Amino acid sequence: MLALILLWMPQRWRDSVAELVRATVLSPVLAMQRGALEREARLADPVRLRAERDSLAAFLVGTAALQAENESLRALLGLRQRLPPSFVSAELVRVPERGAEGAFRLTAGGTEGVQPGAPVVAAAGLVGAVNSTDARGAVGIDWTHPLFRASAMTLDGNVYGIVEPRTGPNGAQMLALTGTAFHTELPRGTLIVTSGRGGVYPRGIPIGTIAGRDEQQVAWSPSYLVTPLVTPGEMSYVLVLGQPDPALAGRNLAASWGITVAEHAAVDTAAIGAVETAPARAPAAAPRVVVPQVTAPAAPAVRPQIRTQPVQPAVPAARDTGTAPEGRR
Amino acid sequence: MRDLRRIGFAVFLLVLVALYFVLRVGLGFGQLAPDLLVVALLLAARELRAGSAAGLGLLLGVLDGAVTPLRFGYAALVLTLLGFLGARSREVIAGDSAVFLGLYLFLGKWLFDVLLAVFTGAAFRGAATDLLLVSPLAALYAAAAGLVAVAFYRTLS
Repeated sequence: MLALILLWMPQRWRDSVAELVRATVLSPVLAMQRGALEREARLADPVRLRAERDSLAAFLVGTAALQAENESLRALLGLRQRLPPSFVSAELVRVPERGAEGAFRLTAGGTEGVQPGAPVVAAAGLVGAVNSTDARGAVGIDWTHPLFRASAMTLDGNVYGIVEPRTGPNGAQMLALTGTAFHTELPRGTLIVTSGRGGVYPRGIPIGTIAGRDEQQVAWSPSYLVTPLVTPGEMSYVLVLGQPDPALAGRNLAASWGITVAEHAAVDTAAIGAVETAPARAPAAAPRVVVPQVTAPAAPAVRPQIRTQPVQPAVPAARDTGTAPEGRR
Repeated sequence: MRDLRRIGFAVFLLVLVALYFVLRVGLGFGQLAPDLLVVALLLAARELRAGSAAGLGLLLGVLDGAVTPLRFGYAALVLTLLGFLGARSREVIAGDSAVFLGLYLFLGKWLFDVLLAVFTGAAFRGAATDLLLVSPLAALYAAAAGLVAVAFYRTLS
């Protein structure tokens, strides 16, 4: 009976009980875990320095993994400078237990201002969100977790939907953009970013690119498979939103990833008919280059861009709570 | 003499539980370390009454859930059930041989994985293969570790 009560009590209470246990009985174990992580980091530094010193030799023996980590850290550093200062850096540690796939612990927590629901991003795009926090760390889920949901849109804001994890062809872990309007057709490679609806994720964080129609989904509203920009292997060093920043509300963070959306030009009645709603994308600062989707052939820069209607969701998008509803667990 | 044996057994279980947290969480071995928590519960269940074994399962489940994000509550429920069933199993099967003990630990650990996958919903999200391939190996590993631990305990006591 007690076990059932424990299971069905509100998440907030469960988190409190878990935090109490972590802060008392299990505090030596967690201190040992932190110590092990710190030792690992300390030991890793000389290895990294030696690898840099012997870069030529390292090239010969193949330091692909080290290079990837280096690039990831540099990209993250660049992103850190472009993002609002309320984002703090953290190390992401996987939870190896069964039943906790897609869950992780962060080395930044309540002390750094991290709160439940805070978005977690990497140099290439969205990683996931924080689920619960304690003083010295936080627990979160990434996009591979079955409960992950994010309100998303195309870069031009014409198509809105909800992204959720999906198993793609050959069992690949992918995302699916669901809830899009029936008449929409998204070409392969279209960049999908967070829409900012629901208030969980700020607008403009890159999520992935359209890989094609989700053929398994048979419904009135088409679904699209999305290739995520951040693979689980790239989730080592991340940035997490620290103290909530009111200035972030409604702000489009796309520019932090080197993505620019074309300014709307004034309507030129002489050019009506040459309707173009193509967003342009500047060279990406992120390591992964995302091909921009231009819905019309390349046109002169001076060509006026005319929108027949203001940017708004094609269909009312569901509110983004960051996770799936309880009933879908 | 009997009290001394009980205290010795309680200390033995405590060591198993402590080892589980130190190896899996503290040193970060994860699933490379055997599931000594389930082993400790299954061994205790053979000595305790059903209610006490369920209570012990609940306690261990709360501890386990505290360090395993998003599994809090599920582990407690499954370990409570496992403790209860382990204690009840005495009425059905009695035995003290190494073969029986190994089989008991193997089945208990496998049942734990299956129940956890069912309660968390992972079983319905494509974890069936995992339960048929990985779980038996993990159960075998836990049973072997349990047998070694029991042999060590019997040598000392």
